[in-house]
Amino acid sequence: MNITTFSNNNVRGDDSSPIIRAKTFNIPEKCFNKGVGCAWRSGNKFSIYPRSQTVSKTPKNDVENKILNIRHEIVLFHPILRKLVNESNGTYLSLQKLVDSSKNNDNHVELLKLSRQYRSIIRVCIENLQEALNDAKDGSDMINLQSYITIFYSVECIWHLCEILYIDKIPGDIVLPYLLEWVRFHFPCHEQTAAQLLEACERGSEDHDDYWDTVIGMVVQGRVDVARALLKLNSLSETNEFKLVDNSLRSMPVYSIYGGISTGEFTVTWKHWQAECRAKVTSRVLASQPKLELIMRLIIGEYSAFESIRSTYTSWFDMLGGYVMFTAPWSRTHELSAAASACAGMGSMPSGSRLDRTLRALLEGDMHQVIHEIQHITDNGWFATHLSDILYHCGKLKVLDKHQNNVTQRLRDSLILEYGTLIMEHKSLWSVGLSYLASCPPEGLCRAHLLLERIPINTHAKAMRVVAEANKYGLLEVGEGVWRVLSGRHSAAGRDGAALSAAVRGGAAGRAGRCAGAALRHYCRTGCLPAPDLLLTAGPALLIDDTLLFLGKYCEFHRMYKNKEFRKAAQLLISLITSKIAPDFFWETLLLDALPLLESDEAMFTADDTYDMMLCLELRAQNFNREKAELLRLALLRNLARTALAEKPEESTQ
Amino acid sequence: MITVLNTIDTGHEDMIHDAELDYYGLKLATCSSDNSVKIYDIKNGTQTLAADLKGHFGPVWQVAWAHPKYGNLLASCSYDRKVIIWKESGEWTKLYEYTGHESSVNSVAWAPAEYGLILACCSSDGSISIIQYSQDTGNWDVKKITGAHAIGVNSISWCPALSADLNLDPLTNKDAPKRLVTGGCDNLIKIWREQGDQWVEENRLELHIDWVRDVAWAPSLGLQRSMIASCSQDKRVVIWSSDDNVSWTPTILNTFDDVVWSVSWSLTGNILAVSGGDNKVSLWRESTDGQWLCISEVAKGLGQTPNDERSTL
Repeated sequence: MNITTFSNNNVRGDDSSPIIRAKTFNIPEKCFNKGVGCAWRSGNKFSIYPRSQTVSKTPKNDVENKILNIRHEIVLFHPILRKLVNESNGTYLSLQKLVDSSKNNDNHVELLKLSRQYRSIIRVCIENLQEALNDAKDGSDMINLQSYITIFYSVECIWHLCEILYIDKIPGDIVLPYLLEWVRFHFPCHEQTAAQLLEACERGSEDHDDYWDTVIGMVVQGRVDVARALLKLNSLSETNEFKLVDNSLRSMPVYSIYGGISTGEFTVTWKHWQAECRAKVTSRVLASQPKLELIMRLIIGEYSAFESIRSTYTSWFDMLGGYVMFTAPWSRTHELSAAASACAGMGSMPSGSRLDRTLRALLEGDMHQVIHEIQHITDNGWFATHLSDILYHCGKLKVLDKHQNNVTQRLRDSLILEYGTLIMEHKSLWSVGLSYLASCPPEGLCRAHLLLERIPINTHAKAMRVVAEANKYGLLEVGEGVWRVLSGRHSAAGRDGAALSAAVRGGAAGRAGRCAGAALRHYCRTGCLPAPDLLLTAGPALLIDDTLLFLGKYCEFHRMYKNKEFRKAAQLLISLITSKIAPDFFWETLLLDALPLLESDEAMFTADDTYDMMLCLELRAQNFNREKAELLRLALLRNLARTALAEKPEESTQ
Repeated sequence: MITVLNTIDTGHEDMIHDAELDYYGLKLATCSSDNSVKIYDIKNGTQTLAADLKGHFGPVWQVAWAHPKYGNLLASCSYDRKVIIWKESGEWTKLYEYTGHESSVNSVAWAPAEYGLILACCSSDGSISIIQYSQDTGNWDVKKITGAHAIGVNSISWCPALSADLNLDPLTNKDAPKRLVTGGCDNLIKIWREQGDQWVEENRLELHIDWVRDVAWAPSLGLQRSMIASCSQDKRVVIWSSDDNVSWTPTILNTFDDVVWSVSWSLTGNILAVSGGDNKVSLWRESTDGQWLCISEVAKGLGQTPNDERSTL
């Protein structure tokens, strides 16, 4: 049996869309040969069972029928990465709040801060993974951890460049300094060696194996000062050739937006400087020192010079900073794609890694491609979701589909919804997932509703949490549903009081009524009323059902009686009797409750009340125990006698 | 990457026809040609047999779990023309048995919980029964739609409560009529609407050229759109969509190599699982421009084979 998860077989494809072949997973169980069915669990889990549509004439016992529960493995649920999920959730929510509260203002400073927060969360995650790797003993664990570390390094690298190009507001848009910083931070090739050499400060450092590579590396990273310092450590540093190169490096013009000169003027000065350097190269004065000549050729931006050193670097972005610096240092953020293509095209090294493609797309400004590539870097939407969200809010994400419709919002929303749904799978992270879904109405809230209903509520604490979260996002029905399920469970277990209170809190009228009826029956048998605290304080919640209301009032009656507020109790009792909401089986008890009040020294009931009671009694006399009915009649008559006399004082007594 | 979480040895002596997980994913019910329904408790990757329900006299075709707020209720339908509703109160027992059909009952589906406790069943005698539990009387009231499809009705599915009111003012949500979709041996898909005390045929969707084997109404996502998936012996899966629940537009998802037996939507309605006679389960999703594609992924899998080879064991 095969599970084919992804195929694009039916798309005959324009040339632009790649045809992705199916990924097929074989399940090596014989029982699935007959046929297979699938039953969904939550989003990334389902069950596969051998299913047959036909009826077999003879039962076959030869193969055991098995059912497999299958889950799409999610890296994010690894314990270390859960911290990433939680912390990034915090940043995400701050972002949404920021955007909501300041619709028109320019938020870029705040957004930059949040972007940096995301990056620092990633870096902390990498550190934790590194620590875990150091402690790991198991081979496959180590492999996994190493791959996660590699993945997250790429993630942070891409995010950083994205931040520079799209989130940060660079003065004058002159991107070179930031680009250089990015290259130096993420591809620190020869930094350590350079630092060592400088610290050692030895003359004759060129004897070190990596000396020239380091010097050239520093030049390519635009660290002209370091390169000069290293050259000074060379034993031949006093020779003419060295002095020439040093001079050129020293006199290189560096653009600063605050320098007071315009880009036009700078360009002229810079081109003049390059022309001088070029002259030095063509005059072959450095022919005796090929390395120095190479350096000069690099600083005049000669393509073949860069190409010749390409093989010493693992990827073309190592050279990007230098290339831009020595060909077009006034480049603006959106003018980098030419330099990127040039560097990427150098040499015959295949540059097909996903990181390469993503960075190319980023430098070319093709955000759709960037998101597409990013989605493949991790198997979950963490990166794509958070990055596209922040870019969307910066207004820098513009995606058009093949019909030229602006689908930016849909893309961003769909990423968030998928991510939220994914995270809701997890038994502890579900509330995190919920917050993502809630930030994307209306579909998000519907999904939240569907998924919240399915969270198992095995403990009271869990149930409370689900209710709280549901209420927080206005999903009141889910909360009510949870209460009803709890009420049902309590009833089934015989815990009437708990069942009643759960039903009331869930606003479940029918169920509450039934629980109230059960409670009253219980009282008839045992004389105990369940959940008195709830009933006395529930207030208007009791109005949902008559029986429930009756129970509540009856509780009140008992309380008054206990507090010796007899008159009030009597009034309440009469209103209960006349309202006729008592369940049939309870009338006897109710009327008999009047007995002590009737017999008391002071008349608690008026004549009219007494008439009402007598009427009730007669209507229901056949259901009553005869003796009790007699007692009641007698008491009622006596009360009638004294109240009739008392109420009509002007009539003369017999 | 996918992992197998756990494997359940079912102990059914014969073919399994359906397996469904309850709302919380903690119980699995399976039914088989050996006339029994088995219920398993699933916890932490292990399963225990909770009950073996015997009450049918023929192969049991389908099981369906009701919403947990009604307690633990399971419905099963069988070739023996009966629909049985089982309830767990401590132990699993038969709560109600419905014998109103004259032929094999092929499919059962519980209505959305917002409507109450209602079960719809459809049968090879061409009729549909809608059984509703009344809290006041404790009885099950039955409404029948006869002659729904010629030869027989194979599958039935309810419209989610939130979708039912696509054109109505949200304030009148509660008055939205209930809807059902059925697929039958007359190659048709019909949509039924409750009108007052009756059920009337609201729409007839024609595209398939052979028996319709399964229909499934997608869960509602709060969007102004309803979707129904249908699959048929003509090897095609079709997605029908509508903005107003009145007029429907079909899109053919794919034509497969063999008969397609069943379609089912994931919980949030964004992925469709299709399984069929070609021994495969495939997962499909709609892209932003309305095309049905599969999610692409590049990851190591379980027993992954290179693309063009597919070996069966």
